Amino acid sequence: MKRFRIGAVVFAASLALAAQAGANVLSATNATLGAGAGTVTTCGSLTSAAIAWNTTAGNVTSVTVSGIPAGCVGGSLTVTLLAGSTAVATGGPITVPGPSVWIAGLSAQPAASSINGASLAVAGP
Amino acid sequence: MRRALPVMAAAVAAGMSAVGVAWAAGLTVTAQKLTAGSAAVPGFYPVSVATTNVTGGTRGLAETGDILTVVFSPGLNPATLCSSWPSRNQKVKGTVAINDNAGSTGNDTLTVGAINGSACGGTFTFGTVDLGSAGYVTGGSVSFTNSTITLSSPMGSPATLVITLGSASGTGTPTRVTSGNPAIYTPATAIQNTSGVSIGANTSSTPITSVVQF
Repeated sequence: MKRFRIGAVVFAASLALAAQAGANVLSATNATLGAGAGTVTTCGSLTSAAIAWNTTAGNVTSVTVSGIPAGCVGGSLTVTLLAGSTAVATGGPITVPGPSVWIAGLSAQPAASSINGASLAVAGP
Repeated sequence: MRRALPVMAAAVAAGMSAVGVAWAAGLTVTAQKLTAGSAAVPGFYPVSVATTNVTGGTRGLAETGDILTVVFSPGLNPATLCSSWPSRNQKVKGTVAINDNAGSTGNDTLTVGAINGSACGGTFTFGTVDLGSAGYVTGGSVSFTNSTITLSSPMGSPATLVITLGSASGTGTPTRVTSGNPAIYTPATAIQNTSGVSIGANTSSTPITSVVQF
């Protein structure tokens, strides 16, 4: 009976350790998650994507992303404006209606002259 | 004791396996497609647009001496505005029109028409300003002849285009606007910088606090 109790304690501890270990070994680059989970794929290439913006007094107030592949229509797009490697404003997520999408309501209105890049992310469709 | 340890180890191993499967099964994949990339940002664009009421004039009424100012990001090629503008600081005179209800939403728009004499080959490349209201002219469009268009484009600095309205004529009548929306300047895509980069689809708006022009 005593051995059974010890075994139960060890078993319970192992459950906690297993869950912790499972979380630790996950990597963002994994293409699959767990047994039988769906494979993560892309909706298309964003290499032709470009940004046009509207400015007010030198600051970016909205952006239009064009060159979105047809496979991404219906997906949820987020744009991040970069000053160097620093994110200075984000927009979205917004559902992609077609090859271009207008995004207002940026998280900030940075000086257009400070922006030298943008990153895009599309989830789905 | 010798028998209990292997049994316990087997139980632990089975437990870990079961937990792993259960943990993975509990994950929810909400998007099976995840796409990331970068996008080119504008290399040339309008920085700002603003209007100014002539001293002693009526706020909200387009009249002689009122000013529209557009600032471009550094590197403007003046010749893409006016073919006879090879250098940075230029001035011409021509006709500026306020077109009645010509905007996509029915607002009045401002455009630059014919240039006096042979300057610019008679044509000035500008684009359109949606004035944010349908009330700046009524009964038809109004032309402001002998308007002055001045470019100041210092090396390596933003270029400033100043349009000063001339004398009003035409079928319509300028009328006073007391409330509206910000004006939006949509440049002609033929405007480029000295590297040949088009101004593209970039636009500029007056501040949200500037809903009455002129």
